[in-house]
Amino acid sequence: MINYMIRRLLHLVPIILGVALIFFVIFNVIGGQEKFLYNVLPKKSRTVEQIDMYRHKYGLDRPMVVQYLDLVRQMVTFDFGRSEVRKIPVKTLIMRHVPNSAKLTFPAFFLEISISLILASICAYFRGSIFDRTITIFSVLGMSISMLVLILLGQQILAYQWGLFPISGWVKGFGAIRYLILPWILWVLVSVGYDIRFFRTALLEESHKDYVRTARAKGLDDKTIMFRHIMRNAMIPILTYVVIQIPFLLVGSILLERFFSIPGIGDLMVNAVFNYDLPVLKATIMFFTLFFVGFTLITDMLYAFVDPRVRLS
Amino acid sequence: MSKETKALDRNSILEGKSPLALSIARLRRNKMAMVCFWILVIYSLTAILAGTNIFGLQDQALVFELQNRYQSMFGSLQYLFGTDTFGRNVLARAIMGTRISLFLGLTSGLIMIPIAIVIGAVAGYYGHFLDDLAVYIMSVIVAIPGMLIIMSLVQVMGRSFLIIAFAFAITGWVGLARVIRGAFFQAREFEYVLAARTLGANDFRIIFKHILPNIFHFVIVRFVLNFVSVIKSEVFLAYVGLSVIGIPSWGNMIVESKSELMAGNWQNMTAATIFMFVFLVSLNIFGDALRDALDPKLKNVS
Repeated sequence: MINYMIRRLLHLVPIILGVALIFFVIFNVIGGQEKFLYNVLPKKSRTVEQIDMYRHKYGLDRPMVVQYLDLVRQMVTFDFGRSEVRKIPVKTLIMRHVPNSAKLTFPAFFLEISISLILASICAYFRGSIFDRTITIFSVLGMSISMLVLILLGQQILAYQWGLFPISGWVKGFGAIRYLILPWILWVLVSVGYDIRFFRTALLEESHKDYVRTARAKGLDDKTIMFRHIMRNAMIPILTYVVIQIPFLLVGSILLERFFSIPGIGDLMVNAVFNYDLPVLKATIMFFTLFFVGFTLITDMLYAFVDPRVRLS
Repeated sequence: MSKETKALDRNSILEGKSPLALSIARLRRNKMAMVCFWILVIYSLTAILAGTNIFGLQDQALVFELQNRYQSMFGSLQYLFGTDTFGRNVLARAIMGTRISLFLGLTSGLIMIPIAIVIGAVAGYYGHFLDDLAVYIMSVIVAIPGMLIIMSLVQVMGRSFLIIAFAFAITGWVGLARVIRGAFFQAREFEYVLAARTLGANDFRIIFKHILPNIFHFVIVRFVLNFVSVIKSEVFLAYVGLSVIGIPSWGNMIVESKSELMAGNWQNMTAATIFMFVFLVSLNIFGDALRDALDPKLKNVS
C-alpha cells in the first residue's frame, strides 16, 4: 500500500512539469508577458531603455528554456514573489482568499449532495411513480438553465424586489452567513439536476445486477435490498463522482463570487487573467493542481477501501 | 447480454434490419425525443437563415434606431421581445445569437472529435507506452481548471470566433478521449477484432473500420451534449467580457440585461433566456434519448 502511494506521489512530478508547460506556452510563447510588462511599467516615461531594464529585471530576456525551468522552480518551491497589481505577496493573497471560497462552496456542496442523494434514492426506490417522473423532468429543466440567468433572477427578484436576502456584501467571521444564503440556494438549484440524474442512474444500474435477483429470491424485502445491497454497491461510482469535485470547490464559483462580492479565489483568478497578474495566476494553477492530484490519490485509496476487489489486485 | 437484446437481435436477422435502422426506429418511438428533434431542426434552420439578411434581420439586429428605444415586449409581432437601449430589435438579436451559439458548438465539436478519436483510439488500442503518454496528457489538462485555460487562451490570443471554438475544443476533448480509450481497451479483446486480425487486416483498418463504428455512439452523443456545455460557457465568457465582439450572442444579451433589469427593462433577459432554455432542454432530452436508442445495453435503465 505504501509502495503504491509513493508511486502515485511520484506521478505528481511530470504533471507539474506539464502544467507549467501549458502555462508557459500560453503566457510566454503565444504572448502575455509583453502585456504583463506593460502593466508593471511606471505609467510615466515608458522609454525603450526602461522597457529593456524591466525586461531584464523580470528575466524575460533569457532563453526560453531557462525561463521555463525558472517557472518550474517557482511552482515547486511555491515562491511566486508578490502580485504586481495588488502589491501583496502572492502567498498571503492566496491564503486570504481560499477560506472565503471554501465558506461558499463546501456547505453548498454538502447541501447539494445530500439533497440530491435523498431525492435520487427516493426516485430509484419508487421508480416510475409520479414523484420519480416529476423529479426527472425538473432535473432536466435544472440542467438546462444557465447559472448567470439564475443569479440575475435571484438577485433581482428575491433580493432586490422582495428583499428576502441582502443583495451582496461580505463581512469577516460568522456574520457572512447572511450574505451566503442566496448563493448557496442558487448553487444547489444549478447543480442538483446533474447529481440527481447521475445518482439515480447509478442506483438503477445496480438494481439490474444478478446479486439483486439472488437477494430477492432468497426472500429479502425491497427496503433491505435497497439499503444493504444496492446502495452500498452504487456507492463506488457515487463516491468517485463526489470526491473528484472537491478540488474544484477550492477554486470557488467565479460567477457567484463576482456577483455577490465574495472575496474568493475565483474572483482573484478572473482579475489575474485580466490584469495579466501572472504570479497570482501561477499560484492559483499550482494550488489547484496540487489539490487535484492529491484528491485523485485519495479517491483511489477510497476505492480500495470501499471495493475489496481493487484492494486484492 | 440480456434476454431482451437477444430476442431483438434475432428479430433483426429475420427482418434484415441494420442496427442503425433499429436505433432510429427506437428513437422514433420516443415522442418526446422526436418533438425535441424537430425543435433542434428549426433552430438549425434559423441559424443558417440568420447568416443572410432575410427580412432585414441583420439590419434590425445591428443598426441603432434611437427613436424607438425600449419598446415593450409582446407589443407587435415584429418587435415580439421589444427593443433594447439602442432601439435594436431584440427578437432579431436573439435569432442572430442562435447562429453564434450553434456554430460555436459545431466548430468546437468538429475540432474536438478528431483529436479525441485519434488519441483515445491509439491509447486504448496499442496500450503500453502510447497509452501512458495519452493518459499523461489528459491528466495534465484536467489538472488545470478548464475555465482558466479557456479564459487565458481567449485573453491572450484575441476574442475571435475560431479562437473561442478552439479554446472550448482544447478543454473538451479529454472527456470523450477517455471514454473512447476505455471502449477500445475492451474492444481489442473481442473476437471480431481477433477475426479481423486473423484475416490480415492492418491496425488502421481494425481501428477505423471495425472498432470505431461499434463505439461511435459515444461520439455522437458527446457531440450533441457538447452544445450544452459550449452554450453555457459562452454565457460565462460573455460575462467576463471575452465573448465574440460585435455580433449579438445570447451571452452578450444576458450580460447587457444585467444593467437594464433594475430599470425594469426585461427585453434582453427574456428573449435570450427563452431562446437558450428551449434549446438546452431540447438538446438534453434529445441527447438522452439518443444515448438510449444507440446503446442497447442501456435499454433497460431509465
